[in-house]
Amino acid sequence: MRMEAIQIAKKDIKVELRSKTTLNFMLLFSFVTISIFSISVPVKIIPEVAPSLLWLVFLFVGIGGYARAFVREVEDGTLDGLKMIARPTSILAGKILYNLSLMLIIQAITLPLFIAFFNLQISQPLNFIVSITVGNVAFVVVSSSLSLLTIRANARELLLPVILFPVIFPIISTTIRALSSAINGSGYDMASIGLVAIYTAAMTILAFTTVEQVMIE
Amino acid sequence: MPEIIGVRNLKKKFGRNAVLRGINLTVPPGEKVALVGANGAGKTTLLRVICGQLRPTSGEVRVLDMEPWKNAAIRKRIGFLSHNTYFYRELTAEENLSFFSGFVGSKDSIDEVLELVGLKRFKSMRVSAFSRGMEQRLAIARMLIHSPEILLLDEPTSGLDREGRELLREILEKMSGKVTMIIASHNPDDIELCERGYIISDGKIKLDAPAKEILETYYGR
Repeated sequence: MRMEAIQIAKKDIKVELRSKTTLNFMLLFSFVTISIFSISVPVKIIPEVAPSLLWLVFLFVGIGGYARAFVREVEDGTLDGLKMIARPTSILAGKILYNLSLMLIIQAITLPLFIAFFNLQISQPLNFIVSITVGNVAFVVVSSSLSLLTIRANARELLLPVILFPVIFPIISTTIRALSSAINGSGYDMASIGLVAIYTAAMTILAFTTVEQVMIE
Repeated sequence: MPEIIGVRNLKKKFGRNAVLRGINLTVPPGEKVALVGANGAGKTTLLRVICGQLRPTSGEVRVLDMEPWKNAAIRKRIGFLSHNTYFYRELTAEENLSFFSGFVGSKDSIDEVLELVGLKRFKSMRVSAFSRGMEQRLAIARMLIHSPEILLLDEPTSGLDREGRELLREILEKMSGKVTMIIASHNPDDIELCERGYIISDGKIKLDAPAKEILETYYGR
């Protein structure tokens, strides 16, 4: 399964680097969102609301972007071909790997932009990066898995957020707590990070045990 | 007679729309079977269920004694040449074949099969720049790389020029006896390749007969 997943992720990265549709959209969207937030949010409340705003940026960008991994296969009619040669679990793993690589690029560009635009003072930068990365990984795993449920729907772009928001709510609220701790310098919030990790593991197991049923129409 | 493909009382619905309404069909190893019928009769859906892209609503489909929609290893042993070519348009011809061969573990050289289908000089061209006929030729190249035990062909000559049709016919004749085939087509020349055939109408088998009789009944030949 591992080799198949890597092959699929490599193929997706190659396709994305040629078309640049998803990455460009995600980067542009994160820039626009950060700019608007930085103009509209009063300076004195920034330390309190920064973790939530940062999550909103990743949420907006991710919902549109991560679902594209499966949507593109459906729109181009290639998913049926892929199902003929790869196991559904490998396809899901490949899509998660591809979305994780997108996430790392987006995070590497968005985080410095966000910190610069908001002039954010972070007491524990490493703690901050660890917390946002754990949250983002969880978001990628959950959104990649759930996007599979909506690919056959007519209004899939509208349906995905409706399904996704309640499921990722625990990830969002817990990560925001961990990010606040990093900004205030009150130490690693291991309880929050651990909770997100456990939740991600549970969602991953659920996704991989049901993918075969979901993928074959 | 042993069967390599067995379909029993197969029904397939999309929402409320019943496309297959109780199909029964058996194919022994090495046989070439034709599927004919009007547009919307259910030929493509039947092939998609047999190759495991779709799951039956009810009834049973067994390929190599397994249910293909539940078994990825069985799906890998089935080749599907259809009007939908499943190629990644941003990738080149060579990259598409190389991606595919990475899964099926082919021993054939990509250059050799591209040469055979007349696409070697286009190997670095993206599939998005290909014509319909070139894409179909590339799908034939992929089929050759795969060399599957079972081959399902859905309008295989669609988009091909005369030379392409002759090439495909030659390849299928070479595979004859070694590969089990189901050919769904509106082209009587494709049906002539087969030993037996089924006429499908409104999601049901109307006639199971030798290919000659199918040609007489359906095409008046």
